[in-house]
Amino acid sequence: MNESPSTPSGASPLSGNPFVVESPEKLAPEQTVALFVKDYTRLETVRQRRHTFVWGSRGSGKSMMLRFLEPQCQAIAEGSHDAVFRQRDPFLAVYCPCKEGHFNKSELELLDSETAAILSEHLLNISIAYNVITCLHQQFPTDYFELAECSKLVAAAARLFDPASIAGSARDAKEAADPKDGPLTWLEHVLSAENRKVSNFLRERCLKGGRASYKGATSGYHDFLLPFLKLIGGLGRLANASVYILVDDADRLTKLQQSIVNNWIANRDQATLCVKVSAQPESYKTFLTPRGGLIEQPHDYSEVDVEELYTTRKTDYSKKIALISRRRLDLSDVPTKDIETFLPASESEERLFEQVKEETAKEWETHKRQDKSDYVYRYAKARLFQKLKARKIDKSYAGFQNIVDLSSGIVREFLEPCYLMFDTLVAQGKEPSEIAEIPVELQNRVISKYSKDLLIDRIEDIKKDLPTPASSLPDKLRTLVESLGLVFYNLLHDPESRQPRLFSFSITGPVTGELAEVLDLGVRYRFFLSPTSQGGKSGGGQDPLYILNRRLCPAYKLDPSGFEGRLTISPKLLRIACEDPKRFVRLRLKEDSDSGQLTLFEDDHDSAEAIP
Amino acid sequence: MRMSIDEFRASGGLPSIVEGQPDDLLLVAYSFEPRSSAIVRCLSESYEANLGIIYHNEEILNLDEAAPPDSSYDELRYGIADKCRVVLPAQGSLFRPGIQLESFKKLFSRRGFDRESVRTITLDATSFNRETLLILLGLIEFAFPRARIRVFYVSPVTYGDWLSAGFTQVRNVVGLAGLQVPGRKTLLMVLYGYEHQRALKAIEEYEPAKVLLGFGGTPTEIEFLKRNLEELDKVQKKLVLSQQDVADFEFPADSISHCTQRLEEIIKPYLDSFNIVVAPMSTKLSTIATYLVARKHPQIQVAYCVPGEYNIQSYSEGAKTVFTEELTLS
Repeated sequence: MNESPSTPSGASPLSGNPFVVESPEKLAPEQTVALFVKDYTRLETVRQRRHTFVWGSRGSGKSMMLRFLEPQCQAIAEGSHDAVFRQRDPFLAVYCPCKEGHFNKSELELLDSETAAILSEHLLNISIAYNVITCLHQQFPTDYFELAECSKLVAAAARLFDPASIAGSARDAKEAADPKDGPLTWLEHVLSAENRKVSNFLRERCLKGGRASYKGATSGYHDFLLPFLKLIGGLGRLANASVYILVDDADRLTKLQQSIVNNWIANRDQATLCVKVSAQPESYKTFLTPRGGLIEQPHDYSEVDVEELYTTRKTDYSKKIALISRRRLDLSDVPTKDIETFLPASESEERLFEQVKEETAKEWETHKRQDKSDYVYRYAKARLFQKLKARKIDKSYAGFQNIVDLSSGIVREFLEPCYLMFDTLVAQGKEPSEIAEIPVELQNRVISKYSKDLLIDRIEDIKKDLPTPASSLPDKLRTLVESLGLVFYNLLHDPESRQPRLFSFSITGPVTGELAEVLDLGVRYRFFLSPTSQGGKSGGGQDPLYILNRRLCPAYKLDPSGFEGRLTISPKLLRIACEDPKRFVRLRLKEDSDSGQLTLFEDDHDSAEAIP
Repeated sequence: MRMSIDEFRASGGLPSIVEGQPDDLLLVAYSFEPRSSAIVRCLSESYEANLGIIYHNEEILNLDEAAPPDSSYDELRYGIADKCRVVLPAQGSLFRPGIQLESFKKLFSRRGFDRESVRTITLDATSFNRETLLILLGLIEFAFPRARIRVFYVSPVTYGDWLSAGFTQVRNVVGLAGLQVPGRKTLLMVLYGYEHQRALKAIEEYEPAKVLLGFGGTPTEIEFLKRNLEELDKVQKKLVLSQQDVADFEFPADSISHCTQRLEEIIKPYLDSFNIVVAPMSTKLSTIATYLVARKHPQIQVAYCVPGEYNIQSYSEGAKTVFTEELTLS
């Protein structure tokens, strides 16, 4: 076999490219602790004894945060296991990933709903129990728990099942491990045997039909999961810790399985069991329990949106990325440890910007419309874009802050272009120890391609992913993005524009049918960040706000740092935006011009020129 | 055994498994490809079967009376009708595997069709979609464990520029969910053909810690090797950013037994340390080999990537070579 170069388990992942994106699953605890940056993550909320949902896209750092809570990482961070359990409200966090195909098995979809519910719950329970036992077994020193105490625990845990239904599994387990010498290993084998029974039954039931009979145990929340976790928390050295079940990627559970997790949350037994669910918000399909109860925030659970930091406190996100980068550069052979030095911005553009700021301050003197610093902040960047356009110079997106802005709140989207830049230099024959910075020209080249890839590749991906491949939705979405890119471009490059740095939009009325589908598709594939109801001056209140993915900025020559205001669009104009960008731009800018908000809209010639 | 279709026909074509006795079951599938009827056209003068089943997917063919007649399907139907005492349709779906599952279960529970009486099955695997083929093997294993199964596969002269597009979901094949040990990392083995997007999607969805990329080093036709290698290159280039631990290997795509042996050899070192998922996307022969390996090691999950659409107009052209092998599943 031809092996590609890979990271050996346990070795530093950063001996090569410091921006490598490794799955947290592959990182050793030491690496997780070394790479994880606690600041600006809302980790403290997740650590609390409350059920919690952690929302975020893939690559936003959810799994890394959960893995950091595991006992081995906590022991490294706090100095020892004992120090961890001496803290107030101690917890034992057990990582339970929901990987594709583990729980959402095709066979469950073919069973009657009652059988599927019983088996799903049992499957979840025994998998969690297995993960808990493995955690005690593998994440603590061998003699950390007394053998007698473990034997007692295991015996009590086995009694939670119906003795007759567990007998076969217990017998099988005895052949593999002695319950007296290795009680935890024995229980692992019992749970594995139960897992096998579920698996065999699912196969037989689907292929043989009603003739298949289930020979294993079943388990529920009150008769197994809760008492089992009480036994675990009761282990002397855990000091009555609450067991935190870290259900990672819960969007991979079936709707029925998600309702079972919701049921655990609805029970509010946080002193024994806290559920920390991580998922992509659009894929968590229900907040109902199997009996139809609704779990609600804040009564039943807390929420942490790992991307919220980006949309609400932009400077904190930037600081977070700086800390992550610093940590990575420290662990690497790269001589530069300061990320701003490592990713320099274009010097000539910075000089020009300083000059533009002075000119903008002078401009303020002529009308003194608002606070001087506000005025300069609002208009200087736009004047820079206008000046660059006049001089026919391409905008540079090089520099740490630009790349942070372009990443739109996803840590991975900052790391990936940096990885590609570094990789290019290595491919040119440079050793990591010789790379003191990424040249501006290379940064721009990679960023530009990374931006265009989003437009081209992702639209193609959508076309392939849709159940109806001939659907016009992807093309409508592409046209909508072009329309928005174009209108924002015009606003930014118009010297008379009062809102040059718009980057968000809201719809001033109900959107239904195909238009709603286009918007949903845009959110699902991250052309727009999830809509938030932040209210607005026009449209009469709580219109959802959509923020364009800033990774698109280089493709449309836009300012990635723009955060202010919103472009309001009527449903009628939205339809035009999905069909004809030039017409949309003309009409939308005319609307503002007529209402006096803007004084100019570009004619067809300029609009056409604006298309990058 | 491999033979050109012309030689195969010239040698007298396809006889029943036991000379002088009808096969108990003949299974064929309808598709939009010309090769889907090649085996039926090669049935020998003396060939007979007690029951002939023609499978089709509801998204490809509508058998409602109101639908326009399909001449290719009729050719298949009439070709079999001459040789089988009873001919029955089996309907399935590309998107809802429960349909074919129920359809076959019903057909296999016919009076007189039991585990003892069905001993000879001829299966033309050419045009079954992979998921249905794998489900069918599972059903046969349960229903007729003592049967000798003779598998046929016909390779085309050429494939179209694209075979399928789109991706609706990835799921485990019914009956091949495997056994996952919580906490273990995932190893994904992809036997890919010409559909690198589907391979990439499987990798994206499973997020494996290790990927084994298998390409058909001995394809059914030597002309297909260049394209296999090009597809490998496309997948590898796309995996640069995802940082998976990737290794590639060759497998014989033209033989069930050799492929089974090779897959086992590759997978063996990982059986006790990873949760293993295999996604067969190459020939039907290698798909059957995947079934055999997964049954031998029931912890293996077999995955199927559901495409959005098939290149119905020009998926493949012609029928070139016939491959045949015999199996027992018990």
